[in-house]
Formats: sequence, C-alpha cells, structure tokens
Amino acid sequence: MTEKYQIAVVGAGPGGLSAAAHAATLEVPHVLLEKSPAVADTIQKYQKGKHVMAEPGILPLRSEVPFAQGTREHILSEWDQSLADNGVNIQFGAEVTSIEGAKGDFRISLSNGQQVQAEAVVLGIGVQGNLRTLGVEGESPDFVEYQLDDPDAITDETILVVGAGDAAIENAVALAEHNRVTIVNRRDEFARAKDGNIALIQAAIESGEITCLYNSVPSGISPASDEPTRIVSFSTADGEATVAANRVIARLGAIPPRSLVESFGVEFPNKDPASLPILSTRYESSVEGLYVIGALAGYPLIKQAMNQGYEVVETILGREVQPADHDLLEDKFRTLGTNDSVDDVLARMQRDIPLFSEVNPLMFRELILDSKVHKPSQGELIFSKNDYTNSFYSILQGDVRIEVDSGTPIISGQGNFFGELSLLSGRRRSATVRAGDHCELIETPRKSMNKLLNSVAAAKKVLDETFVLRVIQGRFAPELSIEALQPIASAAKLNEYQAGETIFSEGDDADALHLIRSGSVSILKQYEGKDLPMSYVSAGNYVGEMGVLGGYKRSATVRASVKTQTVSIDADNFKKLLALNEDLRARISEVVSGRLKDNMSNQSSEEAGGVLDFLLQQGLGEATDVLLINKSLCINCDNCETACAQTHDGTSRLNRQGGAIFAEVHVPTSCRHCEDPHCMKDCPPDAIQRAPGGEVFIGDNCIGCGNCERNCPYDVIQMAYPGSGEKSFWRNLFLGEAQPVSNPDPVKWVTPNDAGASPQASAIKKAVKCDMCKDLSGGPACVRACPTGAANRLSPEQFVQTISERLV
Amino acid sequence: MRLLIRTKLGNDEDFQERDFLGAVLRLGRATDQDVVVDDVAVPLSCCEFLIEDQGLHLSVLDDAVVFVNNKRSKGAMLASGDVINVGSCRLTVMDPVAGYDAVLMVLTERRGRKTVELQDNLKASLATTGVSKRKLSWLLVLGIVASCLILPLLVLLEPSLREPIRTSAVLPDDSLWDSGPLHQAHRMIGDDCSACHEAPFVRVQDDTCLNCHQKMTHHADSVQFPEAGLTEARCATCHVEHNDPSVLVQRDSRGCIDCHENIEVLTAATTTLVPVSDFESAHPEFKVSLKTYDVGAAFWRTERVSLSDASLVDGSQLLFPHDVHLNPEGIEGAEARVVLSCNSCHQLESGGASYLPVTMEKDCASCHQLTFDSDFPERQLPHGEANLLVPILEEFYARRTLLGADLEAGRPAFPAERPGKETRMEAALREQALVLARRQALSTAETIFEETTCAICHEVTRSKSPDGQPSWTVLPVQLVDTWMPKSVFDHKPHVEQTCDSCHQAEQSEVATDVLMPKIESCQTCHGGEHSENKLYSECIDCHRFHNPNQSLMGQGDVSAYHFGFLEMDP
Amino acid sequence: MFESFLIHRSMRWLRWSLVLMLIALVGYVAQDLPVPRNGGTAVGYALGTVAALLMVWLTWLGRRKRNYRSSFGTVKGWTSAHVYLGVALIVVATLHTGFQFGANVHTLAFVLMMLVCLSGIYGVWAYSRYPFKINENSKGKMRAALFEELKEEDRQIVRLVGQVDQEVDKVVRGALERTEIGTRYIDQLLGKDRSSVQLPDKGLCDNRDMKTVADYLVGVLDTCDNPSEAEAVQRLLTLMGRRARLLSRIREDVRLAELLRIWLIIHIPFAFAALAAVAIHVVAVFIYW
Repeated sequence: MTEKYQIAVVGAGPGGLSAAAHAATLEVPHVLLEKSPAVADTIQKYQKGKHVMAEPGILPLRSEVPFAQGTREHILSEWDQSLADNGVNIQFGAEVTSIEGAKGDFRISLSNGQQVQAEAVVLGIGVQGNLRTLGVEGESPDFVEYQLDDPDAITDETILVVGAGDAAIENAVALAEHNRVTIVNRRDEFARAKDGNIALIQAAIESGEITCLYNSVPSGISPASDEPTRIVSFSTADGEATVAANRVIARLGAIPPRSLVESFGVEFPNKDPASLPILSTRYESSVEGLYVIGALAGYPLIKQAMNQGYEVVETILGREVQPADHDLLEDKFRTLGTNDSVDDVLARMQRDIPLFSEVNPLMFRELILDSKVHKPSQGELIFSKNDYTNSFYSILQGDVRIEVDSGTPIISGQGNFFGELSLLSGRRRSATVRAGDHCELIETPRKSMNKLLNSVAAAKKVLDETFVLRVIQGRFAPELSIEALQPIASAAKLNEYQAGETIFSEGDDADALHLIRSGSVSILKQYEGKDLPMSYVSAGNYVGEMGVLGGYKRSATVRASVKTQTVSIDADNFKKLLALNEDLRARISEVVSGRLKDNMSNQSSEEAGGVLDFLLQQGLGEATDVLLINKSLCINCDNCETACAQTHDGTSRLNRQGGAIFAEVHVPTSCRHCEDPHCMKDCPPDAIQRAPGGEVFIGDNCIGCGNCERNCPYDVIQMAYPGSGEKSFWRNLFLGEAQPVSNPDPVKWVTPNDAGASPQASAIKKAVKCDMCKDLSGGPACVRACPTGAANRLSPEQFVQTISERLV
Repeated sequence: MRLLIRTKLGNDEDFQERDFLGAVLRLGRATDQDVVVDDVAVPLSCCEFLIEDQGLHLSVLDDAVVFVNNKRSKGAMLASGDVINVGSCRLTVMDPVAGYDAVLMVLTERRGRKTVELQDNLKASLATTGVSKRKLSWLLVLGIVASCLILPLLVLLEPSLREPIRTSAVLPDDSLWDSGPLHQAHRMIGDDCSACHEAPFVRVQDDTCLNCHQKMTHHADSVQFPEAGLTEARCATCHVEHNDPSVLVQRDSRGCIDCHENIEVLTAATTTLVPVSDFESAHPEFKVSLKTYDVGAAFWRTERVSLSDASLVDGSQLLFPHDVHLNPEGIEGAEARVVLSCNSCHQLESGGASYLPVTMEKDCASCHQLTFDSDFPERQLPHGEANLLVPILEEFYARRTLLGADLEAGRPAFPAERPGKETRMEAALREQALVLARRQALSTAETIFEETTCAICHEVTRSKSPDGQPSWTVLPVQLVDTWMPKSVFDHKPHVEQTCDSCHQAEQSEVATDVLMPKIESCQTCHGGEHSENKLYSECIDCHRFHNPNQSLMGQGDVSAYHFGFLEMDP
Repeated sequence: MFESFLIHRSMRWLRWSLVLMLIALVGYVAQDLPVPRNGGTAVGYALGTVAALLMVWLTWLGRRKRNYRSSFGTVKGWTSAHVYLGVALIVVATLHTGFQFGANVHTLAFVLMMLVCLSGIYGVWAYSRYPFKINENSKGKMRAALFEELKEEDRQIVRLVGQVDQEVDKVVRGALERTEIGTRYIDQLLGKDRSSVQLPDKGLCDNRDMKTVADYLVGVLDTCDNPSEAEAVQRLLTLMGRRARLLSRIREDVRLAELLRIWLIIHIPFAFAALAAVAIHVVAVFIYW
C-alpha cells in the first residue's frame, strides 16, 4: 500500500522538522520519515542536560519550529510540542532504503517494506550516517547494544565488545573493571585507534583482563532463552567459534550516508569522502525534485538547517524566497557601493574570478557569507610578511602589489588570487601585500576555502598549480616570468607523505628536489648504525638540493615528521631552471654549505640528535610554538598551571604532570599551535581561529560539541565549565583558602569528566585550550610566571637552534 | 536470625559452610565484619543484612557501591536468586533451607580486584604535621607584635601596669625597645625611658636636658647669630645616647671647624676672629688677656693681645724680676739667703690643673717683710694700705715719743705725778713730742715708699698735699689670674715637664715680660687632628663648646665678642 | 633559550646588587663620625630605609608571583632580582646595625631577617641542585607516571597471585596494601620505608624494600612442588624486585621534592615575622626618637 504526498521529508533532524512543520502550516500534503523512534536522533544522543548553542548568532531563524539555545531536554520538548501543534505527519521507525523515480513521482521504499510516493523529496539525513550493525541473525536490541551509557552500571557479566576503534576499546576497558570482557576484532591488530587506546587495550589483553578474538566476525546469535547468556558464534581464521555472553556491545562506527545518497542518483563532485553533493542555490540536487538540506548540504549548524527546511518548502511550492542570509549578504556588499542585487554581485564574482567559476552557486553563496568583502584604498596594507593569518584573497577588481623580499613587487590583477601559500602550508605570510588602484577584494577564511577545495576539484587543481608555480618563482626564480616557469611547474609533482614516511634515504640516487608545501621534515644521518636527526626543515623550504646540484647520491635521509606535502622537481627540470637563472646556482650553493655546517655541528653530538628525535616524535614537527620545560630548572611549583588557570577562567590549559621527558627536556601537555591545526578541521561554528600572531584559539561561539577535543592528537583540549575566575590575593594571604583538605589543588588540569567548576544552570562545557595568552600583554602567562626560567615557549626553529647551541 | 553462609573461593565447586546467629550480618573490608571482603575498593563497613517482615533485607551503608541484580542499590528486600555484588565479592541468595532464615552463597573472585592506590598514602604533607606556612607566619607575627609592641606600649601608656610588667620574670618589657646602653653619666636615669623621652614620637627636648644641666649655656645665641647654624641644633644632635661604646661628648673638631674655618665669611667680616681649621697648621697665635690700668678711670682694662704682638707688655704694674728671684745662687731672704724655684711662689691648686694666684702675703711676705724700723723688727706694716701708712707710722712714733723711750735728747718720759693720777706731760712737751713723731714718721715713710720696702715691688709717686706735707701713691697692681680664659689648660698632664720648658722665667728681668708660651711651644708636642707624628689635638682639648663662664657668642653688641671676655660672675 | 633565573639577562641583578653593596660599604666606611657607626646617623638612616624598602619589596615577590596578568617584568626576572638583592640586603642591613647588637627588638628584626636571607640562600642552592637530581632519579618520568607504572606493576602482581596458593595470595596482597611511601611527613623527608607485611606464622613484619616478602616467596618456592605455581612464584619474585626498585625511586622523588621546598617553611613565615619586627623596630625608634 502506498500513500502519495506532495512533499516527503526524510530525516526528522532540525532541517527536516522545520521543512515538515512549514509544509504542515501551509497545509501541504506531506510526510516526515524518521528512522529512529524520536525526533532529532543526533541531539537525543547528547549527554543529559547538555546545553545546545544557537550559532551563528547573526543569522535570523526562519521556521515554525522554535529554537533558541538551551538544554537538550528543553529543545527536544519544544520540538515535540511544535510537531504536535503544527500537525506534522511524522512516521517514526521509517528508514528509507531507496528513492526512485523523478520529480513529481518519487517512490520511497522503507526498510519495513512500506512505500511512500511523493512529488518532491527533501533529504535532511545529516552526515552521521547509520550505525553499522552486526547484521547477524538473532540480533535483538536487548542483547546487542550500539552504545554504552554507563559502564559502571554493569557488573559481573560476560560481555562481548565488537569493534576495534576508539569507542570499542574505551568501552571494553571500562567494562573490564567489573566484568569479563572479550573484544572482537575483525582484523589481526588494532590499527584504527589512537595510540593511547591501542596501548591500553594491548596491556589489558596481555594482562588477561580482557580476552581478544582477532580475525573474528560475528556470524550468529542463539535465540533468547531462560539462560541469562546467549551463545554468539563467530567465523574466525580457524573456523567457527562460540562464546556465551550476557550482552554484546557493538561499536562498529557509522556508514557515511554518501553511498545511500548516491544510490538515490544524487551526484557528488569528486571521490573525496568529505565532499558534499552538488546542489543548486535552492538546495536542489542533480536529481530534479530531490532537495538536500542540513549537514549533508554543508550546513552543520542547527539554525542553518532549520532555515533551509523552511526555504526548501517555499521553493518546492514555487515561491520565490530569498534565503535567510540575503540581508547579511546585502550588508556585506554595501562596502562595494554597488546598486546591483545580491544575486548579480554573486554572479559577477563567479564570472570575474576564474577560480570560483565552477563552484556551485549554493556553495559559493555560503563561501561569500563566510568571507569578507574589502574595498581598500590604494596602498593600504592587506597583510604583512610573517603575519600568521591564513585567509585567502581573490581580486574582484583592480590590482594588488605583492612585495616579496626587496625585489620589484609583483602586480596581480583582477581575477587573480593570493594568500594561497599560507592557506596551504599553514605557515606565516611569505610576502607583504598592498592594495593597488580601485581594488576590491574577497577575503575567505581558511576553513571555507578548504571546504571549497575539498568539493570543487577544478578549484583545487588551479590552486595547486598556482601554488607550485609561485613557490618555484618565489624560491628559485623571482626574476623569471610565470610563462617561462610554466613548463617546469607543470612537470613538478605533488607528493604526500604520512608522518614518519621516508621521502628519500641516504645513499639513494638524487633524482629530485623537494619543496615542502605543508608539514615539515627531519633530516637524518646514519650514525653508528642509527638514523639520527640532524636538522629540521619546515614548510616553505626545500630539501634534496645537494643531490640535484651535482647529481650525486643522497647524503642524508629525509623523513616526514608529520603529514607532509611536497612539490618535487626532478633533476632535469631543475637543471633547466638553473640554465634559465644564472644566480640560482650560487644561491643554492650557499644553502648547501649552510646545511652542511648544520649537519656537522649536530653530528658531533649524539645527544643533540636524540633530543631532536624525541621532540619530533612528540609531534613538534608540525608545531609553530610549543611549551617546553627544562627539567633541571623546574622546581615543581606549578606556577605555570596556576597562572594559566588564573588567567583563563579557572581552568589550566596545560598539564605539567603530563607529557614526555627526554634528557632534561619535558614536553608538557599543552597546545603546540600546529601549522595545520587538527582541532580546526571540524568545528561546526568555526569557533577555532588562528590569530595573526599564530595563536590558535577557541572563540566564545564554541558550542561545546567536543570535536576538537577528539581531533587533537596531543590531548591538549579539554571540555570545561567556565570557572569562577581569580581568587582574591589578600584573602588568600591572610586566611588561606576555604577548601577541604582532600582537594589541595583546585585549579589544575582536569580530566574531561570533572573539568571546571560546578555546572551552573545555564553553563555548558566548552572546549578550552591554550591561546598563548594572546589577549595579555607580555606573552604567555605560564612562561612569565615561571620563577626559574624552566618554562619557555619556542618555535621549532628556535628549539632546533637551542639544541645545537647547547650541545655543540 | 540464623543464616547459613556458604563461602566459595574462585571457581571451585566446593564451598565451606558456617552458621551465623545474630541480629545483623555485617559485610565490609574490616576484620570485625561478619563477612570480610578482601578488596580495597570496598569500604570498611559496607552493608548489612537483616530479617525484616519475614524476608531478608539488605541495607547499604553510606555511599557504598552495592549492586543488586546488576543495578546499583541503596537497599532492597531480597528474594531467593538475587545476586548482590560488592567489589570483588558476589553474594547469591539461595533457596531457603529448613532451620535457617536464609542462605547466602558468598563467592570471592580473585580477578578484578582493584590494586591499592598508593598515591592516597602520600597525602601526608607538611600541612598534616600541623605546621603550615600561614599558621607559622601568624604565630610568629602575633608573637612578635604581642611581646615587642603591645607589652612595651602598655608599659609606656598604662602606668598601673608598668611595674608589674617590668618586675615580671617572664614578660618582656620596654627594655626591648632599648637600642643600646646609656652613657655612664646617665646611669642614674635607669630604665625610665620617659625620663628623657617624655612624649611618644617627639624627639628628646632640650628642656628635658636642661632640667638637670641647668647652667648649661649655649655656644652662641642662635637668634643673634644665625650664621652659626645652630638654630636646628638640639642637645641630642651632638650628645647621642644609646650607642655602644657610649660616647656622649663629641671630641671631633669637625663641628667647630665647620664654622670656624670660614668664620669671616660666616660673620660677613664683622668679627676679628681668625679662621681656624687645624691646631698645627691653621691656628692663630695665642692671645693673652692683659690688664692695663687706666689711671684716669681708675679701672683695670683687659685686652687680648697676641703673644706675637711686639707691644706685648704685661701691665700688672708690679716690679718683679724673675731672673733675680730664680738666681741659682740664691737670693737674700729675710733671715738668710734662699734659693727659689718656680713653685716657691707658684703653687698648684689642689686639682693640679692650674696654679693658685700669687699673693703678697702667701708668696712674697716671707722675704719681703714690711718692717720699717730696725729697732722693732717684729713690727710690720700692713700690705696694700698705702694711704694708712703715714698715720700708722705717726701713731707708732707718737707713742714712742710720748713714752719717751724713743726721744732724742735724753728727756725723761713723762713721769707719773702721783700714783693714781694720770701721768700728764706738759702740754708743750707733748706738742713737741708729736711734732717729733710726725717728722720721724714722714722720714720713715719716705724711706719705705721711695727706697726700701714698697719701692722694691711697686711704683710709688710722691706728691705734695695742700698742707705742704709729702704724700705717696702706690700704683695698683693686678696680676693676671687667667691668661687665656678662652681655653682650658691643665698643668697636671704636663707635670713631667719642667716649668722653663714653656715659661722662660730665668731670663725675664722685668715683670712686664709675658711668660706665657707661644703656640709653637705647644706645637712641639701637639699636632692637629690629622697630625702624623704628634699628639692628636682636637679643639675640645683646649676649648669648651659650652663655656658656662662665658657669655653667648653673638649676644648683645656684635663687638662684644670681639672683646669677648667680660668679667665673670663671682 | 633556557636561561636560569640565576643568569637572567647576563646577571643584570647581580651587577645591580654588587653596585648596591658597594655603595653601602663605601657609604658606611666613609662616614666621618664622632660617635660609633650606628643606625641613627645619616648613612645609618639611609641604609635602614633602603633595607626596609628592600624587605618590603622582596616580600612583594609573593604578590607579584600571583599577579598572573601582570606584565611588569617576568616572574623569572623578579626571582632573579629577589635573589641577588636579597643577598645585598644582608650587607645593607648589617651595615645599618653598625654591629651594635643587644637583647632588643632591633636585633630581633635583624636576626629574623638574616634567617630569611640565609634560608633563601639555601633555597637557591636547593633550586639549582634538586631539580636536576629529581630528573636524574625519575629517569624522565613525572611522579604520576611513576605511580602509574607502580599500579601496572601491582596489577600484574595481583593477576599472578590469583594463580598461586591462597595463603601466598594473602601475604602478597597484604604486602601491597601495607606498602608505605611515607604516610608521615618525616618519613617522606627521610625517604624511610615503613612498609610491613603480615606473615602467617610471624605476624606483622618489617618489609623494607620488599625484602621480607621476597624471602617469604623464596621459602614458598622451596617447598613448592607444582611447576606452574613455582613459575608464578618465580615471576612474582622478579616483579617484587622491580616493585622495590620502583618504590625506592618514588620515595626518592618524594624526598627530593620535599627537600626542594622545605626551606620555604622557614623562609616565608620568617619573612613576615621579620617584616613585623622591622615595623616595630621603626615604631620603637620613632617613639623614642
């Protein structure tokens, strides 16, 4: 039996709810299909009492469904209420398996066998995807669980944990405290998890606390009986095995919705798993009549999704609707002093800037919404050399002067772009840029630009090529024209190396020179049978020049210290370059002799190499500024942590007790302000920013999602309640602190579960991390508060230099 | 109640059984519990079992973590088959057995027991010893404030408590504020701080000093003589007490020199004082206070004359040749020839500092006897009564004449006419006798005045009185008693020296010679305060700052301190 | 790049301190006084004022250290100045006394101040010595990591004793529980091992360095006839040895960390006491001006 609606909305998330509510208000025949038993599945899974933010604050809400920041419970109950008030036709437990047909006649099949017909379909299924299930016979919700709320609530059971990721390991270890736990891994190792978790599970397995079944896949579960346990069978490398268990906890991750969406006929721009479907300005996908909204359309925030839900219904009904951001854009374009409509300006931008020409208009609109439009007066400074900004500029009109070193400035005109070097490498600006005549610029933040590059292959290609060209020009041949370099640039290769991967080894044939585009590399030399790091080379520099100059063998090994991208120019092309430019050979020789000296000095000390090796192992290769503590000066006074806590709402952003020590160098747990910060990768409100001084900081618009905490490989981000601020000095002096004896250190590094002061009614845990005290004059409080000079913040270049100086 | 407890260890099949009789079955880690759970995660007392309403009831103590059928429980009625988990211990309620209220199966699993959290053992810190920096600070600060501030203040401000606190054997008193010992001279003040320090936060007032030192005079009148810069000076500016070693009088010449080395500048040249800065190198020649007799005014004028002044003459008007007296051969005395030395006449006073004044009666009269008639060597004239001399002689000779014994021409003395009747001379004879006596007296007087007795030492002038009789005037004599009144000289330390090492008396032929030694004589031994090879001599060694015998400098007429020296009070 | 507070800015404060000491000395010696040199002369007052101001300023380090937002120099710079000017204070204040001492509040203030200065000098010595020793002892591990290691060790032991005789289990677990790392402060300071173990026939015995329990395990090994259990006991012995070494390292860490800061118990309270005494000294001096 099939029912037919004008609009079928798939997914009762914020977008879907809003769309359905709008349709219901307009009395349009509609259905809202939700696979789970309640609305907003993702929000349901938030922890109890979690405070949900309503970012971005500037965007007006345009929906029948109310939404303002508040607790999870409050928002969910309001939504439930609104659903009932608006008379939304919702079907729970309706998981969509396929969508067929075309505009006006879509057939939607559900997993329960039902079919729904609709003229238009709105997809609001988010990006979380479906949790992978065991998919074996006998699976029932009371026996197989896909999440674990409180490991302490279960005791004395035999539990199977299926999975090999972080979630599975953390659950298994927590449960093993009171239970007999077997972890089931379909492979023969735990490779997907974080290093810390891998160590944890391996220790537990070795100690016998947890049993592990490798190369095992669950194949069946016996039916429920009077017995408290049920028999789970596996197919293993050695054949079938069975285990009796009280429960199974499966943590298999989620299936990204892409394949499902693709099966509906929706096209994606490229193979990148992070890319989003191709959409029109009105959220229509490549399948006519099938609309995509919410996170899947590239709008991860609740308010955006709800606005889209409203807009998409208007669009389906054929009404002209200005997107909610229309006024914002209009405001933005006011700087340009034009009378053209917003759409016209957007169109002109796409037409005049080739890089954006292939971007889908919807995404471009979003891009511009994130961007700033400047109309600088002639000679105005756009950015200066060595700034730590990494936004990207495109020239809408007029030209700019790019001043590299002291040479003649390069003039770049309409349609061109600049700033891509810092964007891609995460490094400081390599040139100063000033505005030319009648200049109009679009400044796009790094995050938006990265989103664009991941989605639009053409744009990425243009940028990559330009990057290579400009790097070659800037590095080797500033006097040569772009045209002359074009053949060499197009022959250059873009390489990517994982952390620890060798780029070339000592003794290899020298075949190419590598320009480091992002990341950093360490240069190692054989020393008594061991590879010892001699030097560290950061992004924007090149390695391998010694070899290609003379065509010798490689004199050292070069290894990526973090994930690194290089541009390689092979020996032949490099010789062409040398031929074109007479001074180049001399300049390169200079670099070569400098580096030889470096190598010599470090070679004389094994310890220096050891320390450098240690620091690079600690991930300092991708750092721009890192807190180091000299243990032979540190008196354990904890003033660094106290200073941090006192200047940062009562929560220390560094953990002096954490981190590794080598010789006398201690790398405490504290932010390194990575070149390409991991934490910035997935921040829904774009709250993590990089200040011009290089400080990576979290803005007030943090919604407390915890993504950055999870993404940081160095555990330097915590979730904490805002603290109570500073203590009164004089009170403390005369009376001491009124605190229980059991808690002598109130303001230290805290574990994520108890961070910060007691939760206040309206407070939410937000991500906190080191901001290098960018708002304080005089530099980081931790360093300034160190009484002995043990704590210091250094850039990688500085600490490499320090090590060489100290030990030579 | 009666319970049957089966205890099982590990996964063994066999178990031990025991009976339990009592009101409550207690379970916990402590050894006094009925069921002991050997797991550090379990509290000492964890939970209790008791029979209530015919059933077995579990009550959980405090915040102990106890699971009943895998659910955290705060207490529950138990039924057969229920499983209770406490740490590593699992209890199962078994089907009842006859004769028992309930049966419990206790299984202690060895795996999964928690390890000891040794960090917790490290709680002990300095704070737990009861000593904290803050506590100690308060203790010390309050102790110090109480003993060193409050108590002394009480002594200071509350007279009734003064003595009890001071005499207490344990309590500290205001002696804690004493920064050093008093000078010996002030010992009698004792520990009564307020004797000098009369008001808190007010410096010791000069009046307080003057209470005892009543006659102390200032060096100079600070109003009349502001140049001296003494306006701000207090007694205590110079007389600093509470030092160790205690020095009350400043010997230092600096303070004197400060003014006196540029005295002419300071006084804008209104003074005749000579700049002084060093005894050896920059000290003027001594001035002696000489007396000259103003005949017209009949007044002894004192004048200070430098010893290097060519016109230096002693005006005592005495005739006295030192050389004659000090003739080593001796000099004719009254009875025999005597050899005189300085101290024959100049006698040290008892303190030994200076010499007693030389007087006629004491020092001269033994030789210079005032006899006038060799027939009556025992008769002497009074000294210093020149105007009485003639009448005395007249009386003497009148008596002699009238008695006749002395008369010439052998005339008998006036015999007595009859006993009991006054012996009367004839009137004419008496007249004659008196004329004779008068003539004799004048003749003797002339000899005494002009040739012998008086004239040896004095200048005598002869004049005619209106009646035609001669009369003699002896010029007055005044010996200088204090040659240098502005300084103090003590002979005693110099007693080892001979007199003539300073005073050249043997060569002095006349009394007008001034025998005071010049400065160079002193300078043979005495140097300035920085002298390399001589005695350090500070100003104060000779001069006194507060000279009670001397008026304030600058007082009255400016020229007064030019003359400086006024007659002292008797 | 790591510049100790002692060599902060090429010892700028040492140089200032030397200048101050020199000025004080010259001023003191050059005084031309009729009375003994004392605190009441012009130079004496000057030295006293400088010394009192220095004391207040030196104590102010405690405030500046907690003024985390201040950019008035770095705490390191302050510490450097604190150390060197503190040394200069010894000279300045001693000259202020004019070497006149007595049983009074004035000398009390001086003695307290000297105590503070001398304890501070010990502190500088401790600060330049113990961090190095701590790092050497802990072999590049923070204390938390040492405890973590110990916990892991204990976990292994507990797991192993699960496989052996019940009695051995009890003894070994008892030994773990009765391990002491200085429950009393004095034990921490001396690094004294007061661990004990309950043996079945001997009662509570001293278990320093896990020796008794090791001896006991050797005894068990002697009488053991079950090969698998014997292997377990043997491994237990190895683990006990490792545990003893780890424990002694933790004890040493605790001891050194305590030694590193124990002087502050003199330095800070006496600093306040000295300030109080100096304040009273000033009051007393001016009450009896």
